[in-house]
Amino acid sequence: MRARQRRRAASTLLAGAMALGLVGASAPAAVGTARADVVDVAGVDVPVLATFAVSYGGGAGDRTVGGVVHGVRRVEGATVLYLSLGLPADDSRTAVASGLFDSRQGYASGAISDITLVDRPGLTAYRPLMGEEAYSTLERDVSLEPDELAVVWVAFPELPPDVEQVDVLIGKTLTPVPAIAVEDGALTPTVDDPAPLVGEGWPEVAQQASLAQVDPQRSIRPMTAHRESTDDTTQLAETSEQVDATLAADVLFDKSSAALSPAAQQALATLAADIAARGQGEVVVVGHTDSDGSDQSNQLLSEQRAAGVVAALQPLAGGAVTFAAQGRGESEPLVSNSSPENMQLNRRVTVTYQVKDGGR
Amino acid sequence: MRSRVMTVAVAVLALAVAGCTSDDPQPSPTASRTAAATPDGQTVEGFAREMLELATTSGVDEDLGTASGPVGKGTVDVRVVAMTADETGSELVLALTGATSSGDMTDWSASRGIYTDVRGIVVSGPESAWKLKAYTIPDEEHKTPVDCTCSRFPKTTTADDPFQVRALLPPLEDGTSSVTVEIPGLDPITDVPVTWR
Repeated sequence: MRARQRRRAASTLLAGAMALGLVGASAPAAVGTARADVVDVAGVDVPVLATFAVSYGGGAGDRTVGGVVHGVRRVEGATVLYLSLGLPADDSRTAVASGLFDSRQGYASGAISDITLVDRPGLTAYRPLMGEEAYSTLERDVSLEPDELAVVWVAFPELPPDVEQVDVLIGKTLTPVPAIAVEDGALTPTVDDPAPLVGEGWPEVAQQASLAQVDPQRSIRPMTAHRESTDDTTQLAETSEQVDATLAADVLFDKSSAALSPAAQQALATLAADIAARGQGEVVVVGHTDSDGSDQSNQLLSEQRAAGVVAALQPLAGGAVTFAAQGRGESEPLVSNSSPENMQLNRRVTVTYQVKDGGR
Repeated sequence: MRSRVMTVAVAVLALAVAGCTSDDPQPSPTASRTAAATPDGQTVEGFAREMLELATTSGVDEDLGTASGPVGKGTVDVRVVAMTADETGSELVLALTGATSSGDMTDWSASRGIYTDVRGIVVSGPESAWKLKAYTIPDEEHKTPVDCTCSRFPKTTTADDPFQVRALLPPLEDGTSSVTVEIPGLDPITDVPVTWR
């Protein structure tokens, strides 16, 4: 018996799913599929990992393009995303693939450049490989037709070996398709058609010799995870290498004072615990003020506030890190000091530290 | 009614369709695109038709919480469609309706209109000390956070055609059973149940 399950009766597929309450009302609860299934389409094994729909024009009431993610595959020198795109039956007009994607700098003309693979645990995003050559299906080779699914491929940098699944962000609408399993090997059988219909075979992807020409580092982007404390005192921006914490000075200090308020203690204790757990190297604490007052007084206040924060953090942060306190006065505002709200944003203390084993 | 953004769990789909029979071939739009059906498989046309229907048919009836408020020149109604989580991350899906003529949702980016995505939305558990936001992705110079792991907000919304937006977020704390969803300018949506995968 063949290992894969065969899929038949497409006409009853949706009805069956809806009858089980799996599609329709509760379909979105199924967000986050990771396991591939394989469908026999005209004799070709077709993996189906997720379906998605994107707005062609970016607004409600615009045309909708549907699609299927068929695989994120490790090949020699790259990672290849296979997906298919088409129009629903009630759309009578052909559409061009370029309408779905923005053109990004650094890519060959006509290359599909507006798709991103996201490794959330690793805090890394992967853009398509870029260069003078297109490392993807060319947009002009893809015609979106009603009731047809045309296959496209896009090559990305090689993923680290321990990446088991990624999210896919598709097109100018940044449509997220979460939790796609990463598998090995290009899809076969291949055909000469650069954008065959699903079931006709799979397009040839870039060869290793061609992939060796590109610099994958240009396509690898460190992501930032963002958190803010529920008491509105602290905002964290974390990459795989470091944490930037921004503390609201109005919570930490009384107006024009460098003495820590009672409310500051909990916020700083939480931060110190994280530094103790995974911080390394030098922790840099920087004070900032708004533009109210003289440059000299603001500089002094910012230095005193940074020193106060260091004094509170250091005893709780363990011995694996060192501290440096700096004041920048009003010289580095986040926003224009044009309103009380903006000035409040500018009154802050930042704490930056490197982390061990960040990301994955 | 058509969802603008929908992903479907194939594992779930497989469960739903296993053992079904027969398909319904349709004329191919072009002769060159026609493929024959195999005796026990789907046709090219039948597969495409069903997948496209599945991808683009509404899945937005779920109602896990709502909020309404002013957006641009009109008002928008927000309904939480799904809030799912596992150890690697969490996902929020919202359906937007309303009579906005301009669809100006720049406040939702929490960046004074610089970005056109919903990175300003935050999610928090009742016991958590932290609110979660979408990840940001920088440009090639690694300086400007040009993208996020979240949808761009729609250019327009309509009263009768829900538009889905999503945000991929960091993991929730283990055991979080409900969350509060905060959208800039709207009242918080509380007690949104979380489905753990």
